[in-house]
Amino acid sequence: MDLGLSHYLAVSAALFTIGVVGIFVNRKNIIVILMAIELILLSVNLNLIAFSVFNGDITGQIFAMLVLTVAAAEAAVGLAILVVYFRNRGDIAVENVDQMKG
Amino acid sequence: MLPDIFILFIVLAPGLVALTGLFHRQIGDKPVMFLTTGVVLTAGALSLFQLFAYAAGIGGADGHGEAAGHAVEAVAAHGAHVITLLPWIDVGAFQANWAIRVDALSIVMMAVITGVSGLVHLYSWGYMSEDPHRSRFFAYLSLFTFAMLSLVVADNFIQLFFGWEGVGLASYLLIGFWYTKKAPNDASIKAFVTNRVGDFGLAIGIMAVFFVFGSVEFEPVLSAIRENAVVTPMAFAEAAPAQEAVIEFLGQRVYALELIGVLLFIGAMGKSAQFFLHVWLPDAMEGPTPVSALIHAATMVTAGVYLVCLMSPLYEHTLYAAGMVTIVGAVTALYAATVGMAQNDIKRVIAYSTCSQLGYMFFAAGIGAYEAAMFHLFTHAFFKALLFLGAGSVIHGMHHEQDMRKMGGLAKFMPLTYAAMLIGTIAIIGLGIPHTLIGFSGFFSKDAILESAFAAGEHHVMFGQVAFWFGIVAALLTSFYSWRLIYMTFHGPQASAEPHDDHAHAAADDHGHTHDDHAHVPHESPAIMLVPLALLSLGAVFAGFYFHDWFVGGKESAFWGGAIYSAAENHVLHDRHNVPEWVLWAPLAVTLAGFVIATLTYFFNRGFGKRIADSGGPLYSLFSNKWYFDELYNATLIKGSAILGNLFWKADKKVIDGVGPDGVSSLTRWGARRISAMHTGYLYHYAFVIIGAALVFGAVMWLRAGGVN
Repeated sequence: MDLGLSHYLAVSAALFTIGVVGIFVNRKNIIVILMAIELILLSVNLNLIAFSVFNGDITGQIFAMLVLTVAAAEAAVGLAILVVYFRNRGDIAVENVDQMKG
Repeated sequence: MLPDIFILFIVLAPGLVALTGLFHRQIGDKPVMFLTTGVVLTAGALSLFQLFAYAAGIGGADGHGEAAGHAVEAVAAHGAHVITLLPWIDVGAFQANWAIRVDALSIVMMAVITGVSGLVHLYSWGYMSEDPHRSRFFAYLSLFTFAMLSLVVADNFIQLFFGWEGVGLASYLLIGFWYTKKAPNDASIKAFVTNRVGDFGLAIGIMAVFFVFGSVEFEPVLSAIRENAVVTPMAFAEAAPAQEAVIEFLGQRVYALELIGVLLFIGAMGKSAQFFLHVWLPDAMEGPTPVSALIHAATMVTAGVYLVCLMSPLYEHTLYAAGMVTIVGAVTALYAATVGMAQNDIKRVIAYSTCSQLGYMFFAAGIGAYEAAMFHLFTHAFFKALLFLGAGSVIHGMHHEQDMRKMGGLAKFMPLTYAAMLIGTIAIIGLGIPHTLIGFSGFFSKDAILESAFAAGEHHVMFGQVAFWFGIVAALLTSFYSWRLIYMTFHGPQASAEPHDDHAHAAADDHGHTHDDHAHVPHESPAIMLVPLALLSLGAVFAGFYFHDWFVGGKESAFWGGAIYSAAENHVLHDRHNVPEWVLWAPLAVTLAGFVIATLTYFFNRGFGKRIADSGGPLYSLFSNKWYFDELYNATLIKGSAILGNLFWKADKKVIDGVGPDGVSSLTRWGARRISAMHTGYLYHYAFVIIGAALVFGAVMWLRAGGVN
């Protein structure tokens, strides 16, 4: 079986959907939210790479590297915030993180 | 007339010394009292000298000094001697100067004001000797004197208005002088508010004068009326002779002179406590007695009479405005006399008497006998100030007891006060013998008024007949209540041995009285209070006799010069000599009748009056409750304005604020609360919004780029 562009796009769409649903459905854990965001970013990366390969244009793969870097930084900052938050409030349950409520 | 420098002194010095009251902490009470009393007494002496010199100049030929003769010529030629001090307002045609305008009216008024004021200052040394705020009192008195003088020497309506408000202010301050007690405060506010009603009329009247004549200065306005000059009221195309000019007021076309006359008279009604606006005067008696004598008897309340006489050219050429002056004056004369009969407070009796006598002056002016009105003003100042100061002496001697029912038999404790009050009473009831020149001052002026009223009635002057009969009945009542006062106060059994009820105590404590040395016995007043009484007694006895020839007799037209104007058809003052014999004797007859009734009911049969009062008949209730005017005003005007004010307040609060500022703010707050609820604080909500927005944005971009194809 030959892997066409549509296969890559389908996997990417599935990953994206899992990531989005993961954000909404998850009510417990902020870390899971962060992981879901990683998933979304990865699905975008997959899209970029797939189009890059099939179009024979290297720009998409370079862009994917950029996204990876940003995702890593984001994960680092997000986790650092989480650690500090946990230290201050002793809890990172999503229901209780509502200090910004209007 | 005096040299300018003395006139300046008379008018301005009282104002300057009033300012010393501001520094009483630095310089002490005594210097303030010395300065004010000394200056006002000097001004009084100068003014009286001016009056005598002026009158002597009229009398003329018997070598009374050349200067006086010259001054008379000056006044006769130009109407008035004007000293312009400072330009004040100069906006186009609207010009008003600070000026001193001296004519016969001013000369008379200056003599009355400074003369009485000087004596009252002197008297207050005794009366207020124990008051801790003496210097404030003297400063107010001098301030009043200054304001009143600037009123009577004004040469334009604006300065007159300044003086008018100035005396109102001084009156307010002095009525409420004992500001720690409620009654004087209430009374001062009542006086001020009631005067506002009148002043509103006066202010509109002045505006109407400017509207019609394009000037607020007396000379051009009055001469335009006298000469019936053509005037062009503003905003009106057609010019018309002054006496027929028509302007629009409240949507009606009215004669300009009638309108101005009525409006100015409303001002006079307020200041002079005439019917409907009289309610403040009796309450004003809460002030110290010297104030009652000076402001609420002799001078300020006569400002309205002065205004009407000053405006004689105006009232000569009006029918209804003059008629209104007559009928209001006549009704007041009668009304106040009826109320005076049933009052028990010694000062209130005299206050209503003042009201009644002012009514006489007004109806005299209304029928065209301005000279008689001014004459009565002049004599009334003496005997009414005398009565008030005498009453003050009684109150002082009784340790601040004012209720006549608690007095009696005081004649033997204070014989000199008794003599003074007797003279005042005989003067006010106008005892005298017609056809002779024997009589007290009230006789000359009151009979001149009544005869003029009768003569006017014969010539079908509006309300002339009514005024005459009201005047006759009021004369009967005047005699009755005046003698009632004398009998209740000075005759009969001595008052209860313990005159110290709560009222007396409260008043005494407020004045810092120490009663231990008085031993609770009525006592004669000190000499410093008796001297003014003696001087005023002289005036009350002789003023009428001495001056009647100049004021209302043969020399009147020379005396008044151009100050009082009589229309060509006005012969009232002349016709009064041709009235039937019975008119001459009627005042004497009713005066004696009043005396007899009072003697029977209050001297021989002392309990009689009390029995009538106790039985509380409808007539007695009506009189003792002042015809229920206070109740009527309370129920209508005061309650009405409270309801109206409440309504507007609520409408403002609920409708205007509710829709406007309050509505906007509460809507904003409500909306903000709703919108802020979107900030749940949950991360996944924010994430959802971000992703949703990204999706929508992407979809829009995609569709704009061409969609599926």
